[in-house]
Amino acid sequence: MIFFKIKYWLKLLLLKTAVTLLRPKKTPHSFNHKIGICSSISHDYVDMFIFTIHSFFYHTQVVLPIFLTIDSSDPKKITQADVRKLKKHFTVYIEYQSQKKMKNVLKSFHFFYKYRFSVTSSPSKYKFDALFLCPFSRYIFIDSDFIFFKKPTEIINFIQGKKSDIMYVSRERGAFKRFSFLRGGELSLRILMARYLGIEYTYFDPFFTSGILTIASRQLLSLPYYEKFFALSYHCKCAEDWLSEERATGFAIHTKKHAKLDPRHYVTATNWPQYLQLATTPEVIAVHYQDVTGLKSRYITDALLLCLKTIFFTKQV
Amino acid sequence: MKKKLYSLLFSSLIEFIKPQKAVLNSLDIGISTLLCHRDVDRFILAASSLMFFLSKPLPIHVVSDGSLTSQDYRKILAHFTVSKITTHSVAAGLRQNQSFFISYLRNTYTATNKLKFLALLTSPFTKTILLDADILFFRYPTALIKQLKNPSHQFYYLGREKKSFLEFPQLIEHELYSHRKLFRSLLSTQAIREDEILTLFFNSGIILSSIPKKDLLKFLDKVFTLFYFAHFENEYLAEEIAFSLVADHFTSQQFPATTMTVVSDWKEYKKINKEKVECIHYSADRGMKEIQIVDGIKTLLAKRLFFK
Repeated sequence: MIFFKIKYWLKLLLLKTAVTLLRPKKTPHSFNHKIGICSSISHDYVDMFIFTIHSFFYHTQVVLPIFLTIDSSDPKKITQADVRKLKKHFTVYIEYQSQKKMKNVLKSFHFFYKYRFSVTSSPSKYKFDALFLCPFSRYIFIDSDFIFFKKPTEIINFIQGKKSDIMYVSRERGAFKRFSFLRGGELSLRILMARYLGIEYTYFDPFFTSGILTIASRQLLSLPYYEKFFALSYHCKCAEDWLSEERATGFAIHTKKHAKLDPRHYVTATNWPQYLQLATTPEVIAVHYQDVTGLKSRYITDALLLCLKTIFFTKQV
Repeated sequence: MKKKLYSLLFSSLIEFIKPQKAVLNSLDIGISTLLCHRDVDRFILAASSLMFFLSKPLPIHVVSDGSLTSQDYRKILAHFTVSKITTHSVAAGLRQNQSFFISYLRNTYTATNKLKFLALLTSPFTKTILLDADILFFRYPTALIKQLKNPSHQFYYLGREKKSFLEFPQLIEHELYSHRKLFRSLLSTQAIREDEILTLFFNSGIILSSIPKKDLLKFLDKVFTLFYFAHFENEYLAEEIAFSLVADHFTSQQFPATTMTVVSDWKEYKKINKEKVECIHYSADRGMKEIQIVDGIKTLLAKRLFFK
């Protein structure tokens, strides 16, 4: 056990060192960016996020501004040192007043407000700040635990304006049945909630995840649908689960034109067997290391290997 | 070592329990159970303790999960009057008949607990007491007797107290509370209310049912059609949730939770009022089996092995 801990800390140290060696990728500052990246990160994930964005910029050959939010009530919020570190690498816009602004956005949505400002709901609630307060007209939400290994053609098309809908990453269909963390009826719960809300099965994807979301306009995220979903979740006592945010967004986008990124190319791995089965195939473009069963360590290994392979993201693609 | 000694003492004492032979002239009331090899001794204790306090022997209907040996059958026959034995192969032999419920029973991947439905549906009795092996009666079961004599409802079941959910909030997730609410609402087409509770504390340890078998089968098919739609049939709590939906659909009532109690861990067990409790369901495997054995030994010795 101690051996594994030492190994992990050594890897983390290597990651922090590698981050300092990466070249900054910045865009000129402007108040009128049409497209950008938004995310919600905590203090522990700053270095990983820097790697995620570097791998994204490297493979897309595009540099975009980044929007982040800080909630003063979040115990794991990013510090001023983290902000300086991020600003050294990218063009970053920070929203320090997210709590206040979200109160304003959600004031007429009782249950959504209750979820967002509940102290017991999972930290993924902060993702909504990034989604709803993002200043860009078209934006890409990226979680801090992604790595891009190849050129993400679908996302490049979105950046170039060729696709104007919502795109999202989905879990592989078998994942719910084969992998223990999703047992306990997560799939059933989503199907039952959809049926209760009168959503047709063909329009709704119960395998939805919110690791990457491309959003062509903020109006596509329907607040009344979020409200309807959280009202039902509170009645069923499952509103403050750790997957609640993911379920909510899956429901909120169902009426809009949406497209699924192929789960064989954009893999969501939640544990080691799933990683081995899905993320090691040659067709993989990006992997989401959902940090529930120690995949963070694997993220660091893969990030460092990619770093060496691309000579710190400087090698010509 | 201590556990093994207790088990050895327990199985030796079981041999000395007085047989409770019923006269098979009426099939009005009887006990039906799903039994496996390792639970035979505990079932003998459960059924004997019930009959001892009832002061009336009852006929038994046994559904075997496939692990019962001929020695087990001999042991049960030596203690009780067995009116019928149903084997697990009955489920496999059922005709498909386009029914989702039959598919669930035939499915080899679904949990063995599903055979509890068989225990109820193939029971030869008009009023069936579906009894688990992990039950022990300590005194005269007033609530059960009352319902046996004057049933005002078709279905009675064990359950937890409402306050359990406040004391043990983890139960909400473990007991698939959200699923129960959604299934219930979808089957009855009633809107969900945040404050509604009812059968969310359902436990299938003891069930007293007088629902006509045809009606029960029809409703279970409706339930399992929805279960299959939601990919829920393989969940470990599918059987219990289906039973709780039966309780919602038919006229039902919960046995008083203060006297007929369900415990699933040591903390809950410590909170029981031993002066009042009529029976305990030692639910789950978290050391509860051993506690039942110890309590069983104490009761057997205190009641002189259920001799009158």
